[in-house]
Amino acid sequence: MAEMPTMFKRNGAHDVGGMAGLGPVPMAIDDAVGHPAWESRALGATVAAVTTGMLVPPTQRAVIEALHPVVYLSMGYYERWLYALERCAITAGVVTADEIEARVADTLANPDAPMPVHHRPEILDAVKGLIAHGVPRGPERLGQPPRFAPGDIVRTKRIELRGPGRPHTRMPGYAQARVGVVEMVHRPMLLEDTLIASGQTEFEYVYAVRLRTRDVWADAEDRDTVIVDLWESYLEKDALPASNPQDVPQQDVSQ
Amino acid sequence: MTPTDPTYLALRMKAVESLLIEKGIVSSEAIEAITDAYERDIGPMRGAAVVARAWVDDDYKRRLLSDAPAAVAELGIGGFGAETLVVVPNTARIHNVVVCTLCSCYPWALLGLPPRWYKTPEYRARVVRWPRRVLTEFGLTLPNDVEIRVWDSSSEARYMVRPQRPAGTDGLAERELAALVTRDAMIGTGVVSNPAS
Repeated sequence: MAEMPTMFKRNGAHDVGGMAGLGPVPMAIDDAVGHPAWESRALGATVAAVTTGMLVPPTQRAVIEALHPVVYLSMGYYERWLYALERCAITAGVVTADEIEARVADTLANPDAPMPVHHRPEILDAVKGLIAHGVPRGPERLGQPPRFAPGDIVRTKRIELRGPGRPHTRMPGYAQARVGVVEMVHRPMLLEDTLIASGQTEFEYVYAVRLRTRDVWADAEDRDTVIVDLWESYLEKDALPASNPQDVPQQDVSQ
Repeated sequence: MTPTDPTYLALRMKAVESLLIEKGIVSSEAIEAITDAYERDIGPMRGAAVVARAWVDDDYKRRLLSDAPAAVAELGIGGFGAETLVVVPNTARIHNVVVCTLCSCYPWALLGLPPRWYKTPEYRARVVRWPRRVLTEFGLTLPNDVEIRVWDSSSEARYMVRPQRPAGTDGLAERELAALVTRDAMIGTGVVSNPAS
């Protein structure tokens, strides 16, 4: 039953939960600075590209996660968004890498060139709809009921990303191969793993699973917990007898 | 993209935007509709209105905790993150904190765009493992018997904390209460205090 700490499986530089060696949270960079105008435009262009279908958030994430770890950690947040916008435009066949580099060279040489004007009321309408109503949700329920219920003890799986056909997952490394308790059952959501791996659209129930932080990191405080959202196929039933499932993360389940 | 200075990035963004406009993917008006909405109209005041309503109206609080998307829609709030919102209540025994360790998921419709520190590796990496130490950096020291629950927003669910109502605020109107609720209190890196005490 005991989980070896070496089973910790981090999937990429984006998967930072628990990473050691970082300094204090840099709060001072926050409100005084605000967003430079270009960062706002990267955000706006990304959302607009979602409405026209050129970019979908899971693909944007997968593109960013494929960055070399050193590059990922040295890029700013919206720098990654700009990078993903370019990659998604190229993958969608909207532009070529050469077109982008040529336009960048033109813009550097002539920074004050006017922006082309194309009035596209349908894009504006779609964007306003997204701002007001968000994105459409998946189905309310699936053909089968949720496999787990609040209070169930579950075991989280390991996800092998280097194996064939799984370049992306929403399961953090620290949450893999753990025992936890189902805290709540969410509506079905799109499984990003299969969308990125094969283009298939599959929905699964998602569960908020409570882990005892000390079970994940030996130097964590004993009474704290971390709750992570995990798709049904990331979980299996644990064989432990559940005398009082709500209390399990408080006990040492490896005994 | 090796050159990372802001001037270069701004011009690179301009180049990409101009290409995407020509290809019919985006328009300047659409981009500005988004930036105006999230920089001018949508911010933590929305979440604060929800929290204050839940403090003064027990029935609303129950609806909020059981079906947050419907409850915030009652106050006219929708959009990114509202449709999958989950509100987690702080109590005398449990203090909730929100993070996204894999990217920077955040309830935009309720709190606006996330603060810059929320997106840093320092916050994302450390708050799951050492929440007490990180909260101390925000000036918040919690009693030892309080359980800290860190919610990692790894799915489309978007979490927001309902902070505890501070003592001594019985006489305040809903609007006055809302003015006390800070963004950080709804992320869980702060609490709401009574300015009169």
